[in-house]
Amino acid sequence: MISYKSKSELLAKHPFALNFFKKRLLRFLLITAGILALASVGARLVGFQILPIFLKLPQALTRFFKLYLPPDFSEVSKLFEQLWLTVLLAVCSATVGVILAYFSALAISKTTGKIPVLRIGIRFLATLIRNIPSAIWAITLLMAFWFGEFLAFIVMALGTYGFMTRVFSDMIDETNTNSIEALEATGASYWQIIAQAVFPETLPVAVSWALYAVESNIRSSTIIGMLAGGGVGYLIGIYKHFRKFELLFTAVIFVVITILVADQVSTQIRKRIL
Amino acid sequence: MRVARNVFGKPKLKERTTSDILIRLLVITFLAVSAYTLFIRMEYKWDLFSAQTGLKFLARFIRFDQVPPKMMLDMVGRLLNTIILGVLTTLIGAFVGLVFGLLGARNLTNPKVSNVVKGIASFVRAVPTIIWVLIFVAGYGLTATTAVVGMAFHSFAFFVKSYAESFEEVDRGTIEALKATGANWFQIVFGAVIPSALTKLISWIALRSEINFTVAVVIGPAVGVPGTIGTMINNAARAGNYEVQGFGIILVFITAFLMEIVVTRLRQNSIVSNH
Repeated sequence: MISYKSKSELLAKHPFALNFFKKRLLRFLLITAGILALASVGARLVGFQILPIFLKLPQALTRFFKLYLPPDFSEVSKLFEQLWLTVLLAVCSATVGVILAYFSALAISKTTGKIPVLRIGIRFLATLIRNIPSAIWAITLLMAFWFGEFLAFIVMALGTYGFMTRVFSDMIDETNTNSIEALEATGASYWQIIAQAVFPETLPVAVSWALYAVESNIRSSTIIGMLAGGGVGYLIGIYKHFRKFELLFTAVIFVVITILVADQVSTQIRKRIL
Repeated sequence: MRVARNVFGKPKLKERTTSDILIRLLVITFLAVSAYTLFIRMEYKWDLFSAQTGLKFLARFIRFDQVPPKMMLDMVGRLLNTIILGVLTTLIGAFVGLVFGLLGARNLTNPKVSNVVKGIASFVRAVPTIIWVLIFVAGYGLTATTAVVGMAFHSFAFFVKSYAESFEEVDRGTIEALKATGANWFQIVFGAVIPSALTKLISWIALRSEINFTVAVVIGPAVGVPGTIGTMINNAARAGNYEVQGFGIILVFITAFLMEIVVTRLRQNSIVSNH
């Protein structure tokens, strides 16, 4: 056995014999430095500077307070009406999106998809819908549907559909194939198998995802309303456009409350059904 | 054995639990609200819908050959800008989120601190990203920096929540064993907690990068951040340059699609619970 009298002697013979932790630290530092270098190059490219944010903080705060405070509560009834509409649109688009996504997932899942052409077609469609941001959908569909609640509904439903198709096809892939095989052996038809084996097993998860979809639709309703019309986002867009920031602040307060409540309600219900 | 029967006299195969009843109620509510909204509340005037105009636009949408090459190059540059905005947002959010995520994890701090941190995070998360950006724009004016900082706020809250949850899943025994050897808080965090949650942390970053790219695209049309692909698409749509708009959308789609593939790969390596 070779023994070294001291650490320096070891390092003199094997300069790279750093211990495990030092190696790990070195690797970590190298990766961090690399990321930071890339980030600073990128920051310079887009003109991002972090320092002015801290330096100009007092001025920015005064300007913000002057513009947004005090909140103006004079249009609260109109606001509540639009908030209610937002909730309705969120639930409605989530339901439609989830139902369509469920059937699409049946068509593209490995266990239940039987028609290859349909599988490829729907997979392509869902990928296309999912990977184009909803704001872009709003701008684009505006040309065919015109501004308003209906466009907001379509945009939100598309968002839900794109996301949920992926989630549901994974979910159906994971369902127990034993019951499907057992039903197949009894000679049950395709839709009988779906109704008796796949549907009951996946319903609780699907409903919990539908709740999540409602929540995320309410979250995204601000931006969709601004671009597509309909709901509280539309109102916020108008306030922003006419620079009525005190009214905008009130709207934001109620949107935040709505989102917090929706978040809590959906978490509590999901806890109980799963 | 007596068989339980339902109102129609058919035997009940399974005892109904509260969860089943709740699910039924939810399904009925959802369907009823949807029917009400779609057929009663919303009065869409179908004469506003014009399939013809839509198809006409669509035909011009895919005429990429009509987009001048110089314009194409410019658009790729703006796409790059948008990607950078998203990445910077993710990095800032992930870094600040890491610090507060450690403070928010129940097993690393006392419950009081954890509750406060998580409460702040869920409040910040409840304010839509676009509102954060608007608030910062009011204070600092409209620049790429304000857009990034505004977006980072929302990302930060996301990371606090998901990181704290990942840290809480770290094996209790490991932490206690280290405590018993007299390791201090930093040694526990950097020696055990972060390394064992690392794959999860990375996959959260990947997931958020995907989201932040979308946000960076969206922020353009909504606020008008200069130099992003979203702003360009919006301007093209308003000016009627449908070829440019179509090309921009394809660029966004390809980028988002590639990101999705990468994220899916990463998530297969470390399964992140549903989110």
